[in-house]
Amino acid sequence: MSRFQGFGAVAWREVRTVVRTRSYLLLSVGLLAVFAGTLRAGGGIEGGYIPTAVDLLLPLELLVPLVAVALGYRAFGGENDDRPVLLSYPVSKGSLVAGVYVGRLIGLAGIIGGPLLAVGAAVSRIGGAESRVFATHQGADSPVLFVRFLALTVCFGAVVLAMAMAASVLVRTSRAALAAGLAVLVVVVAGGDLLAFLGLTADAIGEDVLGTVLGASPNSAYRGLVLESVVGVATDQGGAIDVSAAVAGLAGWLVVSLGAVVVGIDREPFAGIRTGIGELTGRVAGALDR
Amino acid sequence: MSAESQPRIETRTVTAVSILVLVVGLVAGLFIVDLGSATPEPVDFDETVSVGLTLEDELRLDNSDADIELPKVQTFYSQYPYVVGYYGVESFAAEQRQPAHEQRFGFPNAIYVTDYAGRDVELTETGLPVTGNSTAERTATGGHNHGGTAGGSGNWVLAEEAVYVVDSEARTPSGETVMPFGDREAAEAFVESYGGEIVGWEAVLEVPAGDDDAEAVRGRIADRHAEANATVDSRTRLRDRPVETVVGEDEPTVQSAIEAAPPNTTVLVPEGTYREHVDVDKPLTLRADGDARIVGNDNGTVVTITANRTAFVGLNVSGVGGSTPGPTVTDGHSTGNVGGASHDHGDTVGDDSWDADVEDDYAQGDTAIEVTNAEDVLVDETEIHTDAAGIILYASPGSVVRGTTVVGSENYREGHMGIVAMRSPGVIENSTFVGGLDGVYTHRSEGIAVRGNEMIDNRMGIHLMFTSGALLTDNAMSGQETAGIYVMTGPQRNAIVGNEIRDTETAISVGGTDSYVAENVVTENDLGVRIEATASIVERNVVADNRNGIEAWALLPTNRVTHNDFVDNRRHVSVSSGRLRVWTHDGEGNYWEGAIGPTDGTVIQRPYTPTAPVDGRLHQVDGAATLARAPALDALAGFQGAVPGMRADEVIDVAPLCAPVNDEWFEATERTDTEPICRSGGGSAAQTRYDD
Repeated sequence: MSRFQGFGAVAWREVRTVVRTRSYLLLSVGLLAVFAGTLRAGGGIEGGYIPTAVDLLLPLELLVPLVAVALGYRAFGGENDDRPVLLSYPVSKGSLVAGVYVGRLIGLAGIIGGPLLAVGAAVSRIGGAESRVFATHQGADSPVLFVRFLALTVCFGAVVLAMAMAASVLVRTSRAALAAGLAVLVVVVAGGDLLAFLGLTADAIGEDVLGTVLGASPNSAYRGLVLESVVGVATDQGGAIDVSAAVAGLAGWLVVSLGAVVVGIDREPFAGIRTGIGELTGRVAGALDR
Repeated sequence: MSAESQPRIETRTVTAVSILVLVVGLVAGLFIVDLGSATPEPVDFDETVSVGLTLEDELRLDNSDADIELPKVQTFYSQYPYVVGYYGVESFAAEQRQPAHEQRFGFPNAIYVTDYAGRDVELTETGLPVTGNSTAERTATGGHNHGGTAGGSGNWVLAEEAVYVVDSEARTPSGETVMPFGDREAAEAFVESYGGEIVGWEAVLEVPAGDDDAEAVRGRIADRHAEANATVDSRTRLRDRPVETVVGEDEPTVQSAIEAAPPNTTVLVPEGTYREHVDVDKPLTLRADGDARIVGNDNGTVVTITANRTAFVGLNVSGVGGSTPGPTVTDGHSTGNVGGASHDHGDTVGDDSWDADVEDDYAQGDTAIEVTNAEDVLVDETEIHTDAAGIILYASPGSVVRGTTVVGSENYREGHMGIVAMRSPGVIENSTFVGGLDGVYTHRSEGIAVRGNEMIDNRMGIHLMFTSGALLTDNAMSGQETAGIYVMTGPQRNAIVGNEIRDTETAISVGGTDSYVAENVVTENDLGVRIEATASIVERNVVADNRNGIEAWALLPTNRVTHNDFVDNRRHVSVSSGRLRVWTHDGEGNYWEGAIGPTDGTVIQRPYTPTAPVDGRLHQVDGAATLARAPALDALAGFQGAVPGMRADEVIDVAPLCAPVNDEWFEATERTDTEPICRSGGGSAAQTRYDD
């Protein structure tokens, strides 16, 4: 069996798992409901693609990591451990990891992208100003910007998915996997921003490099890229973030996380550390349970 | 894994990889594609949201015979869905220098200017540009025509591609103007005839504006008060002319005394009732000595003044005829929106005929005192009872009316104005107007001052038509059926300051541009302030206990609305049209009863959106504060103002004040519902704000 065949089979298996799991469909419908509620409260949908993206940016910063962790935290861990099954495939570790990752990423893209596409379709029908008295025009608004926003959102999800998967290979039990997943969630949603904030107030981060340093925090990188390449088109005011630093930051998290998964998948190299971390997180989770 | 399934997997794999490559390629393409390449085509100027010319000027230009075409600009902004039209390149240049301009509209995607090249442009005597007479001719010669032809919809050129003639003899009604040309030769030919020099677009953007901006309006108030004071002082001296004639001693009637008296002297009118009609046709002072009453025969006008520098002091006037202009005037303005963009005098023909229409309607009928073509007249301490008009000033600039009381018809539909000031800028102060149509109605009286008057139970308190540069201060009004102060027909530079208006349908309705509405107290009205004006400042007003606090009408979000106190209005703000407005300037907004959030002692660090369903109910509905603090709603509020020009119909204050601005008023009224929430910053809010 070729490298691609193995990859394809694994990916396909993951996609089918996502498709067959009804709760993922429910999750997608739930996201659509949240988007609809947010846009109703914010009013962006009447304004056009850019205001819609602005309204959805903050909810997505929370929801995308949530979906990514939900998809990733038990990719290799948990009591119903799939790892022996996966490892029994006649494929390399790299293909295996890539397959699982790409399969789940396609699932993630569907779960988040579906509702977003629906929102985009709604904007195209009711967005933008109309007037019988005055001439109107689109200004800087464009569906392309919304697709950009969608693409950035999926990329952000892809990074957090990889991080969640990396967390899942480091632990043994499903409870520990959940705790590790939640840890990823907290780090992504608030940790990076708070560190940047602390660094700035403690003068550890100079004002001139803030835009660059922010690239290291995945959600700051995501927010910055949206502000720069979607919202910034209408305001013509750049400087939301150092684009190359943000791209490098996201890519770095992705590569490091996937690397960690590849290395950690067969439990050999870092067994000791892994066991230790696993037990620690297990105990923390146990303590939380009580 | 069975051998049979392998080819299927192979196909799938190839498909999957191709899709992956395609997706990555598309995504990369998304970020490379240049979105700004398509330049929109110019539109008919009538379809733009236009600024820079008063309605008066527009109508006069529409009605003039010559084919006048002012230089115009139309701008397509990145965030603003309407095309914005400017009369005069210089008015665009001034507007784009305003600090919040780009934040509100985004940057210009495309700017077109009028192209005069190849159109036989000439200037009228007053410097107004005139182009070739017929449309057909224009089309044939319009070398740089970008679109339609009718009514000046064509003949546009991209601003960056044009050259401009500055400092030439060309004018708009507002002053000097810049002339754009699509090619350099045409511009050179123009310079040869009318002077000036040729510059590029970048240089034009730096040309100083002919008009004052709204900021300057604020600074002019004191100067204008001083001017008004000087006028009043000069007119008041007319009271002191030597007495040469006494009615009853020297002459039997007031009229015969006037005829006998030498000019520039005083005719003294002792206590008593004088049943006659009086005509003053030379500069005299008519002064009462005690309770002197001139009573007409209930037919026609009682006192007619046609001489400059006449003074009319201390007399009572009644017995006025009952003829009034009738329903055209009474109903003409109470329902329609005269100041709106749709206002059209298209049925009138020829210069000034629109003006004649209004004069026919408003300057007709009987009046207690009529002043016609007489400059610098004084009407002082006079009491008037009338079922028609009180005083009609016609073409009598420099007139002063003070300390006077006009009691009009109880039913305004049967009455007329307290004072009609037609082409008669002057000063009206410390007077009282009860009942009748409008307390003070002005028409083309640029620079009139209306100060310290009391107006009760009229149709409108002060009604400005085609009047720019007016000073309306410290008036007290109540019980107006239509409005306390109504500024119609898009004038410029009016100041409405320190008035107290309560219990009206609309306290203040202000149209036009570059106007200043400040320090007014509007309470218990159906509507506190309607803002139709653009490029104006609305600040430090108290808006309390109204059904609707402020209604935002202006389509262009160019006003600065800050440091107002909104208390106990059923709705603080409503919006009738337009895009999102940000009512914050330099990090400070307004005081909103109900606004919540952490504060730094000056402002609340949570945006307040008075037009939003939850924020708008904060000061009235229990539980709204809990809902407003929901992370989902809180998170939304954070970015609301990011692209204001793309958002519909909202008002947002990103830095609400935590304590009222006019705290003296609140203390005087002993209100308890404005408990400041500045404390989280340490100490009392009001103290941190006002002690330093």
